[in-house]
Amino acid sequence: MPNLYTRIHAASLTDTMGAVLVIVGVMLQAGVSLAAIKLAAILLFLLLTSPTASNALASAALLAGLRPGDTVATHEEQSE
Amino acid sequence: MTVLFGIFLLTLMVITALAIVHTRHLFVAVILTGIFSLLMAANFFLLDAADVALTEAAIGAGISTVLFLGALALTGEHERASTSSRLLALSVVAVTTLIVIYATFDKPRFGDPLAPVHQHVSPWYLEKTSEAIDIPNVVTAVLASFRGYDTLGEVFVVFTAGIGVLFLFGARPPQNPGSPGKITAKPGQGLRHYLIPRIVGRLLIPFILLFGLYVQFHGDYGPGGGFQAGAIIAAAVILYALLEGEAQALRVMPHKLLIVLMAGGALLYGGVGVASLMLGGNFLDYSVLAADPVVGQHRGILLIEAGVGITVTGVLLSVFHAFASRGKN
Repeated sequence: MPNLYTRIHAASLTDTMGAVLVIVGVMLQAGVSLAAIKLAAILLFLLLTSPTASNALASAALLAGLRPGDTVATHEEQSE
Repeated sequence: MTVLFGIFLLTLMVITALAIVHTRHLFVAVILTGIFSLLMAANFFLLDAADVALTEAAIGAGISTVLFLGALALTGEHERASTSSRLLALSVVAVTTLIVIYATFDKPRFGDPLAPVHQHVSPWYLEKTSEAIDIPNVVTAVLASFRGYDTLGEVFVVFTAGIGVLFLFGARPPQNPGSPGKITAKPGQGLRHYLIPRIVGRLLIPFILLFGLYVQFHGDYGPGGGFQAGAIIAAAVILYALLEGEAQALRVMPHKLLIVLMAGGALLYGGVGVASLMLGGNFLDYSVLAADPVVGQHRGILLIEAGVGITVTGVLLSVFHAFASRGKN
């Protein structure tokens, strides 16, 4: 992928949607029980925090001066 | 299946450890250390040690990462290239590894019921917990009551570590104490310019605090207790400090209060011990705290867990503020 923002984009999708799908799957297995309610709470927590974390990461990169249009080298290439 | 998961997690941990050794970028190393702790927590969970997993996740992956990052802000981000020969270090590590691998041949198989650890005092604890203490979580019973001396020692180790850090960094706040209310919106004063994290963070902090209290007082019935709860509550306040700036967090919980918390929790623990001495029992024998010995045990465990939680919260926050305020000077 060309730069940090595209990578954040890809990671945030799996981070949010993937975790949501996994937890919904576990909820279906748990059935109507206390465990399902706890899983719903975790789901709500993840739905709030995962996109926020991605947003914070992206805005931190923007503040650090990384322009979305640039094609930047990956970290390993930079350090060499 | 569990064994497969365990091997998978351990392999990932070895890879992470090698990556930590390999990288010269300290920031990357810190993040990898957090990942390592998270994998370790998952591994503890596989071994049915939910209490330890909770502690490892909260302290190892959460707070120590923040503390490492605070320390990194004071130093450089890159490791200095070592000039000395690595041959000696490598040979020492190789020999130690071989000895440890050789020692594992003598160990009992994973999950072996005849292993010495399951034969020594564990059956006695399992048998006596329901009778003498009557709480479902045997871990809490062992930690707080049967082995109360050990936990007292641990609390004082945490307390001493906190004092040590405060001595190294200086306990006094660096700003002039005349104007504590003035907060300037400099960059570095928290994430004031990040709107979304601030809003979501403010929304979540009360629930994190509530969860911390749940973990604190539900420790008798499920995984949890003072150490975990202290770490979670400290994490909530550190999140607040990251979002709103350290000065604002210090206004909510000033240095003086943190020091009182540090000492007060340890004092509460010791005080319960002295109180049980006064009432005619042994030191930290909670049975004498109430007319019914089982109720006395409940009361004692509640009090000492509270002491543990208070001390851990105070120490972690003091250490965090010590690092954070150092960066400003």
